[in-house]
Amino acid sequence: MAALDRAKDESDATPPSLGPASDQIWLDLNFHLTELSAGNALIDDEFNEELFIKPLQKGYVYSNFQFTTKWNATIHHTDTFRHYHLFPKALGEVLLKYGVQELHLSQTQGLWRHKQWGYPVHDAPPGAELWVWFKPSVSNVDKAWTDLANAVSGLFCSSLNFMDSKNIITPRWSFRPQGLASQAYAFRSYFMRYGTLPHEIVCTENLTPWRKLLPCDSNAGLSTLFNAFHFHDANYHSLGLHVRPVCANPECTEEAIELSQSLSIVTDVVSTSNTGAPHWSLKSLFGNHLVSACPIASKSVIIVETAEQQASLPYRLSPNPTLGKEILRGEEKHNYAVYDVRSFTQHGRVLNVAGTYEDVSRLIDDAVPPPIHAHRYITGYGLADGGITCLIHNTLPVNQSILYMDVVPWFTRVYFSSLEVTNKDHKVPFKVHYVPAKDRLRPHHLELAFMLWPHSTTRVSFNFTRAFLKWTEYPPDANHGFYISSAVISALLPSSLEYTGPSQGASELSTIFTENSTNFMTRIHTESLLVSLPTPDFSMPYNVICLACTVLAIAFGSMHNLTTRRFVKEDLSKKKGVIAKLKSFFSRKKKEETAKETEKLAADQGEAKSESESSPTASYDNSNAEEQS
Amino acid sequence: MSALDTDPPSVAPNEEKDTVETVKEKTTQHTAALCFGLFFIVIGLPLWWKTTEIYRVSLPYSDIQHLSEKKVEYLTEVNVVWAAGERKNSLDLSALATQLNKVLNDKRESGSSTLISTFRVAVREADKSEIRSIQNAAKVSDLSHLFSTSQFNTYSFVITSTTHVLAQPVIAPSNNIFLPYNGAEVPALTDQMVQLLKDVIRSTSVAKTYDVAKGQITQRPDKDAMRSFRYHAGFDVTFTLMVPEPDVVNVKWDIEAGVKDYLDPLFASLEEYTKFSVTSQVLYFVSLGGRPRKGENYFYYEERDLPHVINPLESKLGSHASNNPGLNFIVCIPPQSKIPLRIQDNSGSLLKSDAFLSPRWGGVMIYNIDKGNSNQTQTTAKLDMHRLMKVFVAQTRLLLNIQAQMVTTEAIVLSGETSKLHQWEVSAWLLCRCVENLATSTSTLRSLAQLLEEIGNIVINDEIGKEVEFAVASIKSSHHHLANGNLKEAFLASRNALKASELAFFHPSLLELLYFPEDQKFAIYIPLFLPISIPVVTSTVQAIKWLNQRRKAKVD
Repeated sequence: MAALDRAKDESDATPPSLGPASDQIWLDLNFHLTELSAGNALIDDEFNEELFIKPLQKGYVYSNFQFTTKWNATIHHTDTFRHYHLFPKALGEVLLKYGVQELHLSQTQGLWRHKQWGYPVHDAPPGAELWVWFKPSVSNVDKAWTDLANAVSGLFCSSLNFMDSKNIITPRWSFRPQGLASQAYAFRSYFMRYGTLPHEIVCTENLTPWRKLLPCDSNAGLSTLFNAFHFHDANYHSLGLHVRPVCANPECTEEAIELSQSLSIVTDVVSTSNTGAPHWSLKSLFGNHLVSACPIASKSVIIVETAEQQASLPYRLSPNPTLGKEILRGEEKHNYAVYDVRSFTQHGRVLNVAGTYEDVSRLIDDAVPPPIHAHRYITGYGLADGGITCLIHNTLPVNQSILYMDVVPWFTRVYFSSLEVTNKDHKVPFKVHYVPAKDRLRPHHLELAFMLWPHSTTRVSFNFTRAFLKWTEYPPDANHGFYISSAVISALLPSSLEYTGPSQGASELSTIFTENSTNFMTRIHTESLLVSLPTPDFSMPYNVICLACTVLAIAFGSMHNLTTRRFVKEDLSKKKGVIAKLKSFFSRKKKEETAKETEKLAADQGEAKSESESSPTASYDNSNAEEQS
Repeated sequence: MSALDTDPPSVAPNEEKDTVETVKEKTTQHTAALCFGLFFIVIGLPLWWKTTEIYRVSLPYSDIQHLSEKKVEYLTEVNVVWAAGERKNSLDLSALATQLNKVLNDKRESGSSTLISTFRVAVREADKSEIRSIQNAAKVSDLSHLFSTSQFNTYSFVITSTTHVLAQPVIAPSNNIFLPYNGAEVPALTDQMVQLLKDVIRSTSVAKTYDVAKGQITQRPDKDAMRSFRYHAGFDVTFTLMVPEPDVVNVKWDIEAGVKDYLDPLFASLEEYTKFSVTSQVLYFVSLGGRPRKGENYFYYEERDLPHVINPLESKLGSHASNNPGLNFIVCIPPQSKIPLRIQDNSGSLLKSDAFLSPRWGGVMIYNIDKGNSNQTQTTAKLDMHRLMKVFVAQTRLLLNIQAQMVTTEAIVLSGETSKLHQWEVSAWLLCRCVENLATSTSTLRSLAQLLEEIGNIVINDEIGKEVEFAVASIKSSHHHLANGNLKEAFLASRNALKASELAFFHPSLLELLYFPEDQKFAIYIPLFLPISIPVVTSTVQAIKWLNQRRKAKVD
């Protein structure tokens, strides 16, 4: 139990709140910017653009654009959102209207493979993820969420409005405010909502409005590299947007609003290159050189993470970087090459950063998996019962406490009793926060805090049963299946192995060079899952209506007959077969016709005619009566 | 099974033995058939009716019809104060009053057919203290606070003797008109007064607004009507600074101070009636669309180019958080390769202001910054807010329909130091907006009533019913207040009416059941209704026939 309590304590302490010390100032890279920053001194806002490139294993290259707008004004004052300069007005109005304190949105296509690729700067699940902290002044948080989701979907042309009460939750431990917040506010997650849309498709129409929020749009600077064709051809791409209140100065006497926009892409350079070698350049990644820096940006840099100690083969960068950096983050050494875009693109020159491997044949696959990575999948077979299992690997030589959060839709009914956390067949003690689902109202919300043992794999598993939906609740492509959003694993790692992001207090990537944190806040998202539910034949309701009506009509008809008709014993001598009836019917017709023809002549044949006509009349009436019944 | 129909007694073959038993049996059958028929009529039909009924609250259709035919009447009070000292013999105050009354109330024929203006004229002589204060006035502006009234519909004429201060008619801020007496006779004086009054209360504009809002003008509405926004409870005013080359000329503006100094007084005077939220933004690397033409030593847009100029900006101007209409004011800094950039009107002359207005949208101003030959790579320019705001305040007045077009040219309009609106401007604006709101809400209600009568499938829920009732009541009270001269109350009621009628008309529940195809309805009904109804109907008909026959037999 002691271990469990500690896990809980540590997990609560996971998000380091922004203190004065955690905010670092950029000192190193002020080469040619003095002139411009003097010009910008009058304006409170600051804009920075950065591009981080890291070659991954197996010929993949990870590029992360980071645009940071810092607005020296407090988010809590309504008068703040009146006169905009670099901060986009379209977003500011939304933040003001719905009382938003922090907003984190990611729209992602593809899955980040932690085991091979390490950790990205901003981890994001496939599809869309939105989590928002509302101001304490918001009285009805759920309504504010609904309205905000609608406004944000309008702003980014996505279907975030489908994040309704059925798939949003209020996480208890896993999410804390990322920016400035009082302790009391941060630890009561009452004002926070978290929602995901795992099946949301991200495409050009999401990139365009996102890009429009940048002060330089795509007219100058790093954003000129945006090429929708290359982005959507990539193996993974993710748009992120984060708004939070931060400290305006190192002493933290003033507040500022920080808008951080990030765009991550993982490109497979081997398969797109002609040579089959993992050489890369800006041109091969984005289809273009860089010709300018955004003149509004106070800083415009490209940072390339060069080979780490473990990597097999160093590669050569061209042109030579402005400076190289060797940084010790925690225990691990990271090497960076920094390009100042402004000085490289002066006097009409172009910048095309390229990495070339000297000897391609010596490339070997020696991926070092990051400290924690996970794999989640559906278990069971058939359409009745199933389960979810998540394997969490810990490659560290020490115990690592983590928070595991899983949101399961209401129609996969979780058996809480089946929940278990095991490690090599030993049960792992865990602390749990579980909110069961309510049909059509809210999802299952499971949060676990437990310890990962050194060099081991921990298995979280639980079972569920599939519910029947109402026939109107099925989507048009019901047989495609239903998505279950990614699980979120949060941890405070002691190692910066494969870690790329800056510390939590900063968004700018260049703060990596000056920070000296020893703990690295990591949040990883697992695979999203697809379950199939029992799906009816959709013409069924109509068939049922028709069948039921017919049965009812038959039942009623016989009852009606029984009560309103008289049953008489028929005279057998008069009974005729069907053929005889038909014969007599036709013969009658014939006779009628001939009778008409011979009407004038047939005066003496009258007796015979009346004899033959009398019986067909009766039979005709009979058939008529039978038809009616 | 061989069931034989025995209903028509005369036709059936087994009818020879008319025993008591068969008669009894027949009676039972026909009674049963009748019971079935009765059951379906008494219980089945109402049940079917009830379950398929569409919920419709009864609306005051007759009231709505009545309101749309009713004439709108508004009352204006005119006080004439004689402060010109000794009168000539021929000039009688009571004659002046009669003449004024006659001419003013005659005017109603010239106006709109369903908008009637009535005037109540009172004429009196000024007392000594009033005359003294007029004589003490050293400047024209000293007159502004004399004879002030808080009533929006009351106007005062002060007829004074001609002095060096008062050589021309003066329109003072608080609904007063000072008229220096030039010795004219009653008809001439009356004509002058009526002309001035017409200018001040803008009666033609009011009538036009009313007719346009009512949809009575079928031909193309004129420029005035198209330019200004209709009344809304709120407006979003956005100032946008476009900097196409921040790397060459960086531009600063103190928009906060500019708005505070120049626009806030104007908005403050309308604060009670409509809300303005002012925001500003700076856009980089954005420029006006189209290609300016080249002049001698300048570049210019022709008037016909202007519609295309603002189209590319639209995508950066909208709001995702508000439903109010937006007033967009754009300051455009032309790129250094295109300066000076001017606007040429249709007659070929360059506009002095370099600004233009787009109806019901906003205004654009081109602000040329010449960097000159300075060899600095980047210069910073600061915008002159007075120059900007002068243009934008004038455009705002046009867009909100506050500007009056004076017919009498010789009158001096006393202006304050700020852009604060005068009381007579607010009065005229309120009157305009009030009749416009009344016309709009009445026609909205009429359209709604017509729509609901035509399409029977629409559900009318209680909320819509309540809104419609409220709108009708508000329109009635607004009519009442207008006729009694309570302009402010009338306006507030008309605002409520407008809001309620729009809410009712655009209520989302109206559309919910609108699309329910008939074929689907029958596809569900036919398998049940057809097989049941045919035997029931035929047997009931037979039973009724049998009943009639039996009655006949009894009578025989």
